Amino acid sequence: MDKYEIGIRLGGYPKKYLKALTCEISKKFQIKKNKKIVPHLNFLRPFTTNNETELIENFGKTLSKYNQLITYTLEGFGTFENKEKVFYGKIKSNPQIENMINDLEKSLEENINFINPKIKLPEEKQKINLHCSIISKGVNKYFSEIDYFLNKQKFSKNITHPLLRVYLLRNKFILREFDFYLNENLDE
Amino acid sequence: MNSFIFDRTEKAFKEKTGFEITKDGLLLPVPESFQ
Repeated sequence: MDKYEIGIRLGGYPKKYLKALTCEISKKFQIKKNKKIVPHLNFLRPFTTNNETELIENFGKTLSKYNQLITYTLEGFGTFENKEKVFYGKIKSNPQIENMINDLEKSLEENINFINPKIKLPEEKQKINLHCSIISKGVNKYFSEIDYFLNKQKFSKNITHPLLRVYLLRNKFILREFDFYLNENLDE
Repeated sequence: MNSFIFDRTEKAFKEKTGFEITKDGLLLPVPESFQ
């Protein structure tokens, strides 16, 4: 069955900054990275559908309601303490983006089935945690060194970019990408 | 032409907001909320 995902490709300076950081960590600690780095944020966890046409239609219809300037900002780093640890860039909490994600989930829920159940967290941790993975595989060995390296990075308010598009992936390839400034649900 | 490239989007963004996305990925002029 086809697997679908919704999220954004980071753009502008945040994309350049995180890509450069992944390359630097990979080189410094000799950790293998993916050949193609695409910094991105997942909006909805992977799902399947029995009605792709309706999915595409609802995806575009929901996003077309958002026509104001929305930006996202990188505000620091974090880690997921899984068996295989993950370092990520933290995106500053943004009510406009959170509304958009909740709206997408509500408008699509009748038509999709999430592959994995929602992780149950205590209420105070239920908030949407937008993050962009920096490096994951093989970091356990150098965990504290990478942690130190990331924490001494300097931040400026410029690691911000406008939200231009939201993608709908099918099996890792872009099926549609909603463009807020062209107001189009783009396909190839 | 691949419609997933950002050329048309960046042009439309500039027309609608007045901000330009530079080659370095920064916004000009810098919005007040960024300063």
